[in-house]
Amino acid sequence: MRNVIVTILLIICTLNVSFSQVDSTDSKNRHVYIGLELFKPLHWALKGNATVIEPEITYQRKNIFYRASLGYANIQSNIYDELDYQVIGSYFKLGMGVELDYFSNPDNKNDLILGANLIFSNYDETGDAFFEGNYFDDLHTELTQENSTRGIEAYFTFREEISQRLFFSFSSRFAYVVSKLQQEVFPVYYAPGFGIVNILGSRNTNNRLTGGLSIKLEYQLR
Amino acid sequence: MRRPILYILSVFSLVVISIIGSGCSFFCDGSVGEPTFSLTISESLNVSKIYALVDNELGKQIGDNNPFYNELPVDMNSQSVVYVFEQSGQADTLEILYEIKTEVESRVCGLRVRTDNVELGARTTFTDVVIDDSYSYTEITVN
Repeated sequence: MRNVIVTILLIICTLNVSFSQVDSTDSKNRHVYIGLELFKPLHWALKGNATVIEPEITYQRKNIFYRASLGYANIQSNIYDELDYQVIGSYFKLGMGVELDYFSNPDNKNDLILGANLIFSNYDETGDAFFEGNYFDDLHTELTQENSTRGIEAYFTFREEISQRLFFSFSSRFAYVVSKLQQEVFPVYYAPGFGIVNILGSRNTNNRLTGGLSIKLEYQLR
Repeated sequence: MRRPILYILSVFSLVVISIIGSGCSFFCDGSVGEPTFSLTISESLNVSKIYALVDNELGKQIGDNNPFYNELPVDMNSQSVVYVFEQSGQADTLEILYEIKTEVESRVCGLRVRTDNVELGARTTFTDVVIDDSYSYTEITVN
């Protein structure tokens, strides 16, 4: 936990140093954006029986971006044989980013952003289980498991203005699960906000580090 | 300006993908159906047939008349089973208490059921019973 706090402080310090260096210029004013994640909803919708929604709001002051996003995930998967596995949960991301190419071309509305988020995720996993009995009766039971997962995320975004006030952004990101995964019943397969934490499907080999892509559409409110 | 950005994003994505953890376990605990206890009986007891009580009545005979070794079925909807042993015109009982654990062990092993906290119950008439209860199996020896 101490390492995480140190990492977050380092990120904040780095961003503040960058911010203070450019504070004297004011070629960009304060802006507010609302955005919607497109890649994750489409990716899971194509897999079937899945819904992921992740709206976000961004406040930009000069080259610093402050972001908050609220997500919801409802994913059914046949990852485990003979079990209708489902994970339902919500997550909250809060963080900040810095525009990297501020000095090179201050009038350019395309941005290159490096940032970090804290992630708070709460979700339930369920599954109907059936075991056939030979001597005694069959067993039909529902398995349930609750989780609260905390972690950090770093992202690298390229954002382009596609029309006035409308932006299209492409991000590559990775997240790290800091808290302990509660998985007495299932190996946790998907942690909302983090992604798949179980590529090979064993509770002993969870990957705390996840990676992914993000495509967002953002609209500048002011 | 665009090309360096694409290079950076590509390298970043490859690094992320390559450092995602991995690992695999191929040893599976528990069973995919009704679990059992492994039973070993001393020759001196002269056991001829074994049954389990189902709704407090004798169920069908367990096993294939092997007097020394059998797999005792476990009731997945209960926390105890009473087994009845016929020997030389009389009957002895063995009560086993347990908890049922259902879990997905891994993607490879899938959905499994197993027993946990296996103990000897009070309705046991045998005087010498040894229970070896491990995570993946339970052995019961009746002497």
